[in-house]
Amino acid sequence: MESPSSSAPPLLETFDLHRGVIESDLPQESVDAFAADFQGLRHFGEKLGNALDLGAPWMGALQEDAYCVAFSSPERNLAGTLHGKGARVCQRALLFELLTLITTQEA
Amino acid sequence: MPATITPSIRSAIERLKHAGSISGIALGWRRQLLLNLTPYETFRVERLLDIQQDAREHFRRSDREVDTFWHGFDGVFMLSITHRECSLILLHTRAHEVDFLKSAALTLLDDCQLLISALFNNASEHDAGGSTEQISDDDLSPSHQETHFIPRSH
Repeated sequence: MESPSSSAPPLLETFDLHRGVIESDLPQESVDAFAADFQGLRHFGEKLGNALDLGAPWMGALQEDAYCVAFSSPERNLAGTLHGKGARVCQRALLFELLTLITTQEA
Repeated sequence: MPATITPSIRSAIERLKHAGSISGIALGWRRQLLLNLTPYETFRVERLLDIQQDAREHFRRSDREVDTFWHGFDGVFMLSITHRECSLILLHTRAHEVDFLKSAALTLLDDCQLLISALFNNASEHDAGGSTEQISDDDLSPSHQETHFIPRSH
């Protein structure tokens, strides 16, 4: 997995999750970095959900000192494929603001 | 099993539990569960703490210190915050409260650091005998109980 410093986004970067595939016009380096974080968030989110019998998460976010990543896929159950949005930003953003941004873009 | 924690930490966490839309809260130190105030059994919350620590380890392998995880499930959000060696896991229902809850949880964790470290230090000192000095049998022998008179010289 790439560290955020190696491919630090200067501004907010957004990604599309379409049929389980990440799509973006951004450089491949950014897409790879987001994909790694997305996989980690989903993996551990599912484990957390299974521990409490809550199932898979429809959204997830992580935060570091100067880095935030979030994804939202409220339509994950439709046809068994994953649709949604993701974003990452190289600053300590508000979590709800990040979630609002990606869920608003989905709508 | 959750460790015994001081009443002041418990009361502080119980006060936080009444903030916002929190439906459950758990406090951990490393992988040890200290307090479980969630509607779930202890073994489930211990599992949560383990997974949270695993997730942190996963990202730490890339030299990243992730202090916050936030996941949304059907009807509930799970916010996991780590500060130094302590973690709080909060279950809440209203998404817009997440940043306020995070801020309150970080303040609580910061305030609790001294109490928690004192708790563990006291426990380890107690286990090791600490600085307590044993009273030897000699100290209690009858010879030490006698009063010696020194005759006044004229």
